[in-house]
Amino acid sequence: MALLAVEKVSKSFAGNRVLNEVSFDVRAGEVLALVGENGAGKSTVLSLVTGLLSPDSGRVLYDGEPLRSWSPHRAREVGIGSVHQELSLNPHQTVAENVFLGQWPARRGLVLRRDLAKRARPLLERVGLDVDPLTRAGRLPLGQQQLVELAKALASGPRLLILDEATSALDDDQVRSVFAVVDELRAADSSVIIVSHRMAELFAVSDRLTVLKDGEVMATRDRAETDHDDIVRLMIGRELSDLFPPKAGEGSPVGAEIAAIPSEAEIAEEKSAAGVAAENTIPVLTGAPVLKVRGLTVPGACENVDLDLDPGRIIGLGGLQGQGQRAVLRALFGLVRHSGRIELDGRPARLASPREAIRGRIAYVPEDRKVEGLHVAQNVRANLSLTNLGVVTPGKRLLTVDRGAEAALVDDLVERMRIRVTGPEQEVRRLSGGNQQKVSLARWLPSEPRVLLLAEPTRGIDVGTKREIYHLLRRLADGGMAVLVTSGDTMELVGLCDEVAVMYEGAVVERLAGEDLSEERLVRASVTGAEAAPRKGAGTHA
Amino acid sequence: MIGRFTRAAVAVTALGALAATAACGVDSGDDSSGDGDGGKSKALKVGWSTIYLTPSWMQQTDKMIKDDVAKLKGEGKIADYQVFNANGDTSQQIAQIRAMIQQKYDVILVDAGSSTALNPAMEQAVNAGITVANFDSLVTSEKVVRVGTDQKEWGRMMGQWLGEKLGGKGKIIAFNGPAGVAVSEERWQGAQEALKKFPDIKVAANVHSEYNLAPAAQAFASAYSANPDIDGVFSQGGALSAAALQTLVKQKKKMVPITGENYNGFLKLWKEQKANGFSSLSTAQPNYLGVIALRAAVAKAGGATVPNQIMVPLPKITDDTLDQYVKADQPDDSYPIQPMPQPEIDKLIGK
Amino acid sequence: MPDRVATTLRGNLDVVGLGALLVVLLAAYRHYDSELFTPASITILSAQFLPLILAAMGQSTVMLAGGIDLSLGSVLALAMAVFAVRAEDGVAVAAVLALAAAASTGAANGVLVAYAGLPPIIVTLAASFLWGGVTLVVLPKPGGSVPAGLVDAYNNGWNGLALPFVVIGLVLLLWKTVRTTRFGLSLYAVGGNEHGAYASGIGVRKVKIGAYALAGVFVGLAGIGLAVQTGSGDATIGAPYTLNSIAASVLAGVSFFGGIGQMRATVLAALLIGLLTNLLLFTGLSPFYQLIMQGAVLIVAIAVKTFATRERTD
Repeated sequence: MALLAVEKVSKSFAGNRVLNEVSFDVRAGEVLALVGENGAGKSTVLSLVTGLLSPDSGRVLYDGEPLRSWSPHRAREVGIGSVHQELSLNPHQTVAENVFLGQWPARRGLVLRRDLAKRARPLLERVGLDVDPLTRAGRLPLGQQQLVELAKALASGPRLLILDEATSALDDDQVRSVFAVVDELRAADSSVIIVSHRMAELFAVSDRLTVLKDGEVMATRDRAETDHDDIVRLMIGRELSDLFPPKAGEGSPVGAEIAAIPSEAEIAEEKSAAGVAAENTIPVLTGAPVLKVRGLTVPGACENVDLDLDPGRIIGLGGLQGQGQRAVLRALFGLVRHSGRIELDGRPARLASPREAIRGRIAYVPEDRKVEGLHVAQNVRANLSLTNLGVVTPGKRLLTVDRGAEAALVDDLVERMRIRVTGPEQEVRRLSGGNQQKVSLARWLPSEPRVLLLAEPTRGIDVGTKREIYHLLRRLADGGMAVLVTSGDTMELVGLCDEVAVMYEGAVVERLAGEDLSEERLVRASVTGAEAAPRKGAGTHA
Repeated sequence: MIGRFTRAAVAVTALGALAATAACGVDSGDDSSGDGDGGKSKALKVGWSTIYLTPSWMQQTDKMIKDDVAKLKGEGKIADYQVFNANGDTSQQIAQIRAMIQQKYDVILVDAGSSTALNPAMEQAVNAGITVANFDSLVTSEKVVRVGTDQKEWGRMMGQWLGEKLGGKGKIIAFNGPAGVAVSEERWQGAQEALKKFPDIKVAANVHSEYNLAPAAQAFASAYSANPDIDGVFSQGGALSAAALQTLVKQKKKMVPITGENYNGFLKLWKEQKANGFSSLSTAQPNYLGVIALRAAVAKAGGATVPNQIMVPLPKITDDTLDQYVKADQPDDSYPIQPMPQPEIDKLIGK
Repeated sequence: MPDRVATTLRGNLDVVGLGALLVVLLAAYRHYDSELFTPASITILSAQFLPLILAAMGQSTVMLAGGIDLSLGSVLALAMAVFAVRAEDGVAVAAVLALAAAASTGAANGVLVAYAGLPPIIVTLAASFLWGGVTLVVLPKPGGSVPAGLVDAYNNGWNGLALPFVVIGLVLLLWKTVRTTRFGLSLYAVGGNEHGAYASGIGVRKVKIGAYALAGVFVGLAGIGLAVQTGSGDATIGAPYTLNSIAASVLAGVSFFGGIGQMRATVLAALLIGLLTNLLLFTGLSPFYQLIMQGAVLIVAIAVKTFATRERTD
């Protein structure tokens, strides 16, 4: 009998349907892998199981009983343990206190530190963690914190363990300890749901794989009956090669001057042109780099990063989450204090504030659109014209906006970017994630930036829009722009970028391009970066 | 890690240095006052703890006391004088009184932030042999010298004048301070007592407002528009009276008698409108209350017998004496007052 | 230096730093008041500082849970008023009533914060007017009275015992016990990572309500202390305690974002603030310069402390 059954569950956020009649089950003593792209709905469906969210319709059965008045507290009581990518540890409390977070064993109402430490030790050993239980959790490196999370999930003796990207920050040894735990649980007839972006891991440990795409279950396959390509095809709903535009030097720079999202017909045309181009070898744009970065250091975030951003090329910053990629982008846009040498068009540049960066024609599309990018409570028109006041206040009519020019600008951008809006007066927060991202990008276009910095450009966006954005970025690059992208999505980096610099603990540990740029190499460099990486702090400080 | 320790060490040192400088910077001042204390055997060390120091009334009081202290210093009666501002914090006032006890002050003056909360501290001072005089805002303790005015009498005086002025007949607006505030309640009680004698005077509206020009003007304007046919206004504070008179002037209405206070803004307007037939009686919470308290305390500390409760008569500003008070060259927010002649002060403190 | 000592020092940087500063201040204080270390002086000073220390502990409790309480002054005044009004019928009953009033207003604050989904700073600001009004209903004008014997024993010592000192000791002991209960750990957990705590099955709302209620108990004790110190009740006397308690908590290193801070440090910091203002009274500086000095010293102390304890972040 199934331990957990999810039956026709749907969930919407602010009118955005995230899950649509999702059904799957987990049997006792089974490991189920849940796969799908970012934003496919994996975390949402798991939140329904752990009680963080409740479904709009459909139901979840545990042990044959439908879940009622569900909460994390109840979920833990019935034996559901979970480890999420987003840490739930309290960094200011000790490891032992965190292991028993919320269910501290008490004697006559008092929780004794020593007692807590003693009880935590075997659990820590079980997950292969050798740390003092009285250390503050926040002092541990990210990977060890994730193992503390696992120990915490094991503390209540779970019958169902949920691992949501629980291995993302772990090295090989640590991953092995996690899998040992998974095997132990399976042997004890408990169940595990595992989510990971590392396909190889999933194939190594799971019994069945359920594929989610755009909030719907595409298929559930036994491991023995499927392979890597099959799962990827299900995940993205089309062949991988169709999702991404040809790379620099492969495709035709036809129409490069029109920085607009290409139509389906145009994409098809480009693809066929690419075939021809492959034979004729169109010369790669080989100018001097627009932005030359040497020894970029943001204290506590990244160290000694070198980058050459050439016109016409898309460079990716890869690696596990939080290895300093974001800091590099923010530094180049003048948002954080940094040191190092930066040359813009061969001349030294000081990027101390976004104002100076913008003057150097650098544009930044941030990861958190709602905080750093858009004014979500305002309408599309205001968002698009705000960064382009120079265009909409012509003739030096300081302070007054030319409504005609503004309307023309907005209409043009909406059309070029295929932003689906009811009109320019629609509030940005009512748009879907994909359209928000398009607005976020579009606002920079009129100022014709030379360098475009993007953080996680397709997070939480449907696959169709993703494709549009990939093609747009390639067109912008073909038009002479230098593009720098960070992404946690390895497939995206491999498919889109001409070169990927892999970061680990703030340093670039590997640069992959051409043949070497594969998902496998990228993932390996991301997790094994520790071996190759110079020790933090060495080199720059005497 | 080392960095963090170094920083911590630097931090503690810096803080220590700061505190030490703070302490040293003031050494000299204290020492010199100490010398003064020892030098003249009879000269007194006097401190004033006030709940506020910034309002203009307090500033004027501060200046008056300082001038008088200078005189008494000249006579060798005072050695040292210090002001303590509690800035609205009554607990701070307790700390101030305690500090003065520890520093062996001879005389403590208090303008109290609470009518009860300072009692233990003040009584402790009295028990330590210190002369404590309280003025303006009074406390309930009977062990200290209290110098104040009779707020009920204030209302009575105004009510009486208004009744007579209107010939015992007519409609008035009562314009009072905030509901629940002791001073306002007492003044209105007094006024009601006086008005009882004039049964034909009807109170058309009883309006409450803060003692501030802007809200007062609003409150009065709405009451006045409902009762445009009034014959007079019983108003119990300077800003209130000024607001009422301003309303009449702005709307170009007939001048009716309005009672008032020595708020310069009101006095100026009164003087200007006197030609148009405006008439008023005003009184004051006189700034010399502080001086009387000082004189009483100094006398008591010198061994004289001083009454424990000193009620200072309210000054009267009439149409005739207005010119002596109004100060055209001073801001509206000041309280012009004639100093009290020394013999009268002496009489009050029982000399 | 042995490792263990180093670790202990590092873990208690706030306490050590504040302690060092306190020694400096006491030395300066002693310069002006040679009788500082006599039992009489200690009694008087601790009587004076007790309300602020207790209020700061209340504020710290709420801040540890990731909140803030701007209604603290009003609740303090309410407890003071209730105690002063009922004290003549029996001190014990009055104390229980005052504490009950303070704890339940605190709990009510907690309910508003936990369920209204509004920032605590807004909710408690609104609540400050609410409780201020209730206090005026209980005690429209200053009054009530506390038995003179109690006032005397509190302010001047009871058989040579500084009662306020004893109270501080007992309250710290109470806190230490609370800290080792599940509730105490939950308090830190919710303050440190609210979402994580919720996801770990902690009843976040209950914890918040509990934190505000516990803060109410501390603040209620502060109100009783103030009533005994002044021998009466006064509805307007509490207001300055709100900001002073926040200042003391911040100086003690309690994080505005919750989860970090030690009660010992709060007690020291409140003591420091009290001593500092007192010290300035002795200096003979003009009143306005005293205010400037007080502000400057606080800003420098907090800036230096932040600088000293800042950790590398990304």
